[in-house]
Amino acid sequence: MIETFFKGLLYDIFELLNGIMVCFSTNLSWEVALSTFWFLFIIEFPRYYLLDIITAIRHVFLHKSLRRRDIVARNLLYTEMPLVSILAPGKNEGRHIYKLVESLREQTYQNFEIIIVDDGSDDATPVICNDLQRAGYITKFFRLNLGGGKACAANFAASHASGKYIIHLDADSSLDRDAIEKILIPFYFDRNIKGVGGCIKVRNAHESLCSTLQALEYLKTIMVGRMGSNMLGIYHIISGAFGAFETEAIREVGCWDIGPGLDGDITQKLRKAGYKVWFANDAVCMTNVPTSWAKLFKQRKRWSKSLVRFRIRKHSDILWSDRNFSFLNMFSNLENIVYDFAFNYVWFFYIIMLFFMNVDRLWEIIVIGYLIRMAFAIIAFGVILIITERPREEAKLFPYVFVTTFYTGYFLRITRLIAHTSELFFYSSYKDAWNPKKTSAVARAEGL
Amino acid sequence: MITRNRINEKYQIITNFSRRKILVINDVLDVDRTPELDFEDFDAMFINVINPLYDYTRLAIRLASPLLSEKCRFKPLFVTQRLQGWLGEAEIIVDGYASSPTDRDLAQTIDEIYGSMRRLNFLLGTEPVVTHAEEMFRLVRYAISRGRFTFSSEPVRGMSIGYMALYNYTMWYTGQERMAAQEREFFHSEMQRLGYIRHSRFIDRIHECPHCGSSHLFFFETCPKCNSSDLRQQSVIHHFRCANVSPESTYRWDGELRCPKCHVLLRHIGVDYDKPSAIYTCNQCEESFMYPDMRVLCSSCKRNLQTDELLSRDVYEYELTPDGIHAFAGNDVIHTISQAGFFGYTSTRNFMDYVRQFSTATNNHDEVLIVTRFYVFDPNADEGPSLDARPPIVQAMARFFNYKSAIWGNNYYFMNRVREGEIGRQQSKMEYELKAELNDYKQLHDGFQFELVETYIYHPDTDPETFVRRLEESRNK
Repeated sequence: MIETFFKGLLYDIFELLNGIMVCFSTNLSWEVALSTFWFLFIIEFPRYYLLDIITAIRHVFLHKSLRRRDIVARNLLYTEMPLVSILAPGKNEGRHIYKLVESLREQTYQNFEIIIVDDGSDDATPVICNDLQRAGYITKFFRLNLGGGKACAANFAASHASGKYIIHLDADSSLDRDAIEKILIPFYFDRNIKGVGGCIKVRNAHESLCSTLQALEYLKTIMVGRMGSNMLGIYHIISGAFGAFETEAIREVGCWDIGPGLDGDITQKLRKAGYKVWFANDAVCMTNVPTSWAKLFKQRKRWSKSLVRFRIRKHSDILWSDRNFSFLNMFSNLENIVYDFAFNYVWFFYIIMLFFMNVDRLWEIIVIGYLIRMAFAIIAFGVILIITERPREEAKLFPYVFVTTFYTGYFLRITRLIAHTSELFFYSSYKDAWNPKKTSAVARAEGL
Repeated sequence: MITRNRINEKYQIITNFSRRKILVINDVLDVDRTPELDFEDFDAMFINVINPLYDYTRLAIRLASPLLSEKCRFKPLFVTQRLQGWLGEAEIIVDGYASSPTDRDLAQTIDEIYGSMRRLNFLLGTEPVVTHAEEMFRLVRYAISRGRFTFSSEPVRGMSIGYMALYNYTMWYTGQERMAAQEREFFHSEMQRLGYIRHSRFIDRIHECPHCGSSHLFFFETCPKCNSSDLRQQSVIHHFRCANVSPESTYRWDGELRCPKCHVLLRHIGVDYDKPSAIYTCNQCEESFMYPDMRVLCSSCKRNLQTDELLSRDVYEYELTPDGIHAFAGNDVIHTISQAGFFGYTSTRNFMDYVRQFSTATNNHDEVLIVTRFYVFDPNADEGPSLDARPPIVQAMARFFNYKSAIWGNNYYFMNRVREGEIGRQQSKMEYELKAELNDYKQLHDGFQFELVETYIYHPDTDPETFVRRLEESRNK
């Protein structure tokens, strides 16, 4: 009885494999595959996988010379020893502050001041911060009794910064021991660099499937992806969770404007002012990500809306020729708009088309599509392991590569689609409770 | 009635219609040193001195005070109506104001005071006040005689401790306060131990300087960086349009508010902008901060202190118990309350008791006692009019109220309590000023001789009995 059952199971598996083989050899010649999965091969592969591979190759070959450059810059940094102002604006973040400050005391670079701004918290944050200030853990603590939003708090903090550089941190993030040092180094090998973004990784990777997949995504799009865009000179977002700026330059561009997505906005402003921005892949900051799908959906909607609000609307002038025109700036903005915005709609229609053109062999298409994407994902994972500074830990994420397709290929795309559409037609980011109503109302009226 | 010619006399005694004899004082009169006047000669005093000098009037009252004068003790004191409101602190020992000593209200008040003293079996007593402790007892007795059975502590300007219950009108020197505060504390604890008084009300917890005990403290809000109190406070404006947040002064532009970042005019609070906070800026170092530090300056010792260094002290209102009233009215307290904790002139037994008590007290590990011993010989001591119970040399040395002093035979002891770090300075200061004062006395009195025998220093950790024996043995040598 059991014997026959296993025999049947084996037979089924062989049958399936055989079917796939047949599919590849007869139904799917290269031409057919390309015409069916053109989106994957022509649009996604060059941008998301080929570029990664090139990045990895460059990393392998130039690693040593780049290291020498960093060592020289590091010496310059330690010769000058500039004061660095670390800003951590936030609301109801009191319980994270002590941990943050503890991790800052462990840093290799120690000449910094810590400025905390409490953006109208309604919990014990002011009490905690006051105590920490009395005890000398925090250099300065300010409180806004009426919350004014993230930008408001960050600007308030920046106006009290007395350091040569400003480092903006999220209160719930923590840093590698050498992160501050590493994020400051780029300022010293190119004097035109006025903003440096750090590499964000996920701290709570093993909390839920949702956060594990995000950990993989962060490694791929932030660590590897931004190295690639940095290589091309089109790096366009210094993460709010960990970014460094030259104080003078950031004041020149007027610090932060109203968000959401104010980190991308300020990067854009720096680029427009003619400064270079840089991505420091070895300055690692760990942060907590949402662990439930609903929260993640909300967060990504907010992030995606800022693309329409800032890149398409506010900074559209980057795309046309004007006094400050720079080809790279245009390209960086255009790349973002085309890949994350335009091609998303193309993908949507592509999927619908694919469905109606191949109704008879839908399962085949889905399985083959999945296999192709998985092959890509494995390549990407290999690139991650080549580049990362902690491959042993990252390798543990390998089993999840097999499900990541559903996450990046479908979940994120659909989220983006919804966000872009609602922002494009309904200006929904101005209704987001992330900002206080009073500021959103003005921003909406002024078209900011 | 007072007639025009009689007003020129220094004093006169008038009998009013209720047969009370009233001493009318027209000029400063040292009642104790006027041999023609006796305790039994009058029942009340009436001050009729009009002098443009405030101190002159005050002196007249002091010399006829029911507290300080032996012959006037506990007797009702009245002052002419015209001085009402001009007596300052001396007002507290005045029983009433009247336009003339034969006034009807005045007579009634006198009867009431004597009546209440009789109800309390109040012993007017004839024993003179000798020691400082006995002065204190007399204060309480006076309060009882006037029907005041609670010592309500009230804030008093000029008192280093800030609050004063009963005794401020006996203070004549500002330096006396520190000692008086210690004595008062001892006195209160002693009375509480005997059940004479109890706390009737908590008044306040005050703070005092840990170095000099003064509570006259200035509190400054200071810059945490440079400690200056030259601060300005200004509100912070948040401009909604561009999220700029900076102090109000950066927005001031030709009488209007204009954003320093985007140069847009701010028109309406709540719509264009709001003021989420206020910050302090130091005018000296331009540091900005939200919560200024607190610095304390002691106005008497000029030391800068932190708020957590200050000592706190509870101020209570005390109430005399029936036992206490009985003991004070009958003057039994002289025998029941220990006088060891008082300064000023005391008996030798109390002097030695103080040393013993000092060694057991817990909170003075950094303090030591300095005792100087003089050999004095005064041939005039028994001559002349002896109106006071104190030897004339003790009277002459009265201004050293901060030292506990005692005379045993020809030995005159002075004791001072100082911090360990200040022994050398305090010892030489003490020896110098005592010698100078004794020398002055010698100039005025023929045959007086004195000599500094020795100065002893006592640490509270060592055995008090050995020290006391040393003091006594050296006397016998």
